[in-house]
Amino acid sequence: MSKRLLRRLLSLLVSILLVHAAAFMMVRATRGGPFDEERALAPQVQLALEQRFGFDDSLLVQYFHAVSGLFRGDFGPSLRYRDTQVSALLADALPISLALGGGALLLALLLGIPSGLLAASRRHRNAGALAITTSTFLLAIPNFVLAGLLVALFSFQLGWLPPAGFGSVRHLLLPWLCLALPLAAQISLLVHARTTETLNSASVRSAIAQGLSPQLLLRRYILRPSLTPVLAFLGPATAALLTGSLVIEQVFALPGLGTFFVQAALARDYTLALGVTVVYTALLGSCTLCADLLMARMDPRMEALS
Amino acid sequence: MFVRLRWLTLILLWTACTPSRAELVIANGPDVEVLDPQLANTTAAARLFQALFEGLTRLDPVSLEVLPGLAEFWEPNDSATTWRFQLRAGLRWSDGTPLTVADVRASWERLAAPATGASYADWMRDTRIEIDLPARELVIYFPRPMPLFDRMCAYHALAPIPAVLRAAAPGSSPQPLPCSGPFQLLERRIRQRIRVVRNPLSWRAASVALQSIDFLTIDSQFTALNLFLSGDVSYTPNVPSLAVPKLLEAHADIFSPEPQFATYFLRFHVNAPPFENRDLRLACTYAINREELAKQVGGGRQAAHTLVPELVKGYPKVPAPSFDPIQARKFLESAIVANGGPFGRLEYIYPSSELNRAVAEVLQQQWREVLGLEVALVNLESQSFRPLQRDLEYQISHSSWIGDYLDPLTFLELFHSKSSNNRTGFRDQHYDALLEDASAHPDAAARFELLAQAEVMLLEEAVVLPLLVDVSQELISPQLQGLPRNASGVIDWAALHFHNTAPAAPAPEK
Repeated sequence: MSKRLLRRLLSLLVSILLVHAAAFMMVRATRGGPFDEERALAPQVQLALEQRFGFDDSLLVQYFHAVSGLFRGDFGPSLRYRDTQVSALLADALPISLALGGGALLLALLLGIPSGLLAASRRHRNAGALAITTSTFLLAIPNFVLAGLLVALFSFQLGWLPPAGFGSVRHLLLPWLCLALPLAAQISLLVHARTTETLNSASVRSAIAQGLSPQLLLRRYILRPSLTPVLAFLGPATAALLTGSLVIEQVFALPGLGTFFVQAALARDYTLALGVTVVYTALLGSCTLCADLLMARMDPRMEALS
Repeated sequence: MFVRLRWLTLILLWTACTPSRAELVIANGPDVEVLDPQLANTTAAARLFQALFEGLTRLDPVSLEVLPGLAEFWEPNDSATTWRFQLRAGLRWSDGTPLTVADVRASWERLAAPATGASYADWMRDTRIEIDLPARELVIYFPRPMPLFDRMCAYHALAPIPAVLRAAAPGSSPQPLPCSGPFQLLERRIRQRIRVVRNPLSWRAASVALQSIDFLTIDSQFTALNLFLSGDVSYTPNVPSLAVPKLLEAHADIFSPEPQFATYFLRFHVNAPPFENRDLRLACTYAINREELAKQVGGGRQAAHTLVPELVKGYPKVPAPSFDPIQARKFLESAIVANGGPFGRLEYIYPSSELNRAVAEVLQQQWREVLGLEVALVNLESQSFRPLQRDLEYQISHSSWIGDYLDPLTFLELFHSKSSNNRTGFRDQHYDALLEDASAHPDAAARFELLAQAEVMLLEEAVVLPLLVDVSQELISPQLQGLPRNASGVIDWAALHFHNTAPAAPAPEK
């Protein structure tokens, strides 16, 4: 197990290095530079800036500096926020993205699993149909539309929550809901499909025939197989939550990583773009790794297969 | 158990508490990326630095006249190549250290140094500065006439900066950062907010009514509008175009677009086919109905026929081509004859934005309807667009310019042969001479006459095609007083106060 984990960690490190190299080449190959402004700089000012940030070196030397910085965790100063180190920007933004993504994930699990189980239960057919319809609706609606609807309801109609900003949990409730609802819908549909399958299996029917109580039935025979596909889904879903919250960050003016990701690329902020890409790659790899480990723990067959 | 309870208490406390608010909260737009007035050049940064750093002069937010700032007296020589300033007595930075003419000289020398990386370095190019410390006097010598230097001194790039910022490596922002304006920096949270508090050592401290201001970073105009409507912010500089009709209809008391000293226009690449052909440029100019464009684009923007918005007192009305389909077709016919045949598909590049796309689509339609020309629209993100425009790799390109100061020169000098902002290939010695003569002319009316001649030349040559005058789209809470709308976005933060609080005592003016 530990050997396998070490191998996975090493492959994650190689992935980070490859993504870093590809990102470095791509941002440099794109036309336009970080100092191209509407008010053009005087040529000697432009030259001085290029020298200060090392752009007068060859690309190979610049890449070498970038890689050595990567191993030290130092991406250099941001070219847009010239008075701030990229690592400081990431250190400020990452906890916010983690709080946003983590909270949304928790909420999605709390809403998605019970509603999926309810939808699969034969006793509450109407509630189940409602859960399926709601899930389909939530999957179809774009998150910026959902955000607008929630702001209209909770901020302007009811006046319970602020429409944007950051500083307390009240500011995070609407973003959490916006991110969690579509994810909860996906989880609910997954749980519903697997639970329906499990309920029709011979082992469950025989357990019912033996007169097992519903609680025991749920705990012993239904919950574990129903949650396995959710776990497989959680790895990429968590990564998607953490990396794909750009629109929600913009709508609710949250200072997370998502905005940096897009703005750094658009502004040709090479150092920040590389820093965010590396952090996202590490997050994506870690989430997938954690999900795989959990899966292996819940279903030993998976470990044997891997 | 005890540990769990402690966590629960902490979570409940965090849930319940709302972050402390400043007395005034504004949605300031995009982040202020560098806390250095010499390096910042966005309107969001200009708003912040007007609060933090005072220039030797400042502008009256109503009349936009030049008022004394840190300097109590100034005068140019007859040719405006030398300016003498005298600072007020007893000026101090917010940390208590004296603010002297030595600070001003060192700041301006830093601005001029290429290593600083300032986009306004050329304003201080080849200058020589002398100071008389006891007399609080500074004399600056320019190699060229600078008749508007007192007005330029109100701009944040020319405000003196403290020694600690000058000594730091360019681009680094030491904190605490001593300030000279009516407010001083308290806290900066990147992508969240910048909080400033009253500067008790400002020479205008007695006239400052507000104790603190939060400048929120809000990228989305929809979010800023939501925050304003919910009462979370009292001022936002921009609103989404979609909201403008409704705001004009239902909220005229808080929303009143005012023309800005800013123009949207097109640049033609005049040195390469097909737009080296002046008749083709004129055909494209006469074919555009700017009034219809303004109507279709919306947002309260107004049609522009001249490059310089008609907001400068004393500047003559410049004759300019307007919509004339017959004239447009005549010019096209003559252009086709000179070309030896019809023109193929033309190309128009523009930086990606909702407004720019709307403008491009209307232009494309009008050129097709009036001239039968097919113009392909190429949408590029800003950083890809700028090098194409700079390297003249285009035929027609979208442009816009916000005047740095209220004078026609800020627009017309763009097209001087030596300007790095020319980006059209237009080189004309007569045009350059008109600008240089205007700068050297001591009489304001005669100077304006020369500048107007230069603008006429620019329009007759159809180097540019003015389209729209931008408008302010500020939402100002009715409770917030002392914030008049003006053409240059000048805000006197010291004068702001809420309706239920009396304004502070006016500052003693010399």
